[in-house]
Amino acid sequence: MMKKKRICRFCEDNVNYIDFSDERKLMRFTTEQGKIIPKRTSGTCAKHQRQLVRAINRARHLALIPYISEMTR
Amino acid sequence: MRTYQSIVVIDSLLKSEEIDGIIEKVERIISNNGGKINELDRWGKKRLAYEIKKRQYGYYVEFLFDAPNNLISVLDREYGLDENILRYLTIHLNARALEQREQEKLKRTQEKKVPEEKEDKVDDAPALEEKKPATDALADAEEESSEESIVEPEDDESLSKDE
Repeated sequence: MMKKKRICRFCEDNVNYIDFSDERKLMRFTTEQGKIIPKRTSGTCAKHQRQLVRAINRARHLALIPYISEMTR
Repeated sequence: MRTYQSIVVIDSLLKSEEIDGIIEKVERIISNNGGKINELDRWGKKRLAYEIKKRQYGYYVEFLFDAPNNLISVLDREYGLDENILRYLTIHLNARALEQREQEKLKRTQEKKVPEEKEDKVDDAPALEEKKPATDALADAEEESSEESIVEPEDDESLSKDE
């Protein structure tokens, strides 16, 4: 079987720094519950996943994105 | 001297003068301790993702400043003492982050220039035109995210087959 290639979206766009203030972009990498999607699912490379997690945690602290969504509370 | 970014979430139930007072206070602390403010960006009143101190909304303000490293501890203590500050975050911006910010700023100014030219010709029409792309972008973002959630389970299956 052919292995499906996963491409890191941040590498594709040549992103050097993931900004925590862009909540809509960050929300794309969280589940409906608000959990961070693992890199094995999203295909993000290790370098960008680390940056992404940092950005998400900062955004959560500032209440820009939820720790747990209202739906599951 | 390093460049820092500081974001403060102020209680939005305060009067606008009181909010201004807090912003001025922060500015004073930075400038009195040998710092220099480069940018002050008011994000304005935003809905909080979760309640903080029974508040649903917060007033977000972003500061960008150069400062000696001893200022940050002073600033963070002042933030902590102020009861009207719901949340705060101060981070050091590295070269990569600054580069990214400048690129985005360039993009934004280029985008702005296009509608400005149109405004000279017609007065009322550009305002409508400006709003439309924004809503389209919103819809696109939502579509993409919904697509993702559908696509992901399929991807999982293909992975398990490979293994």
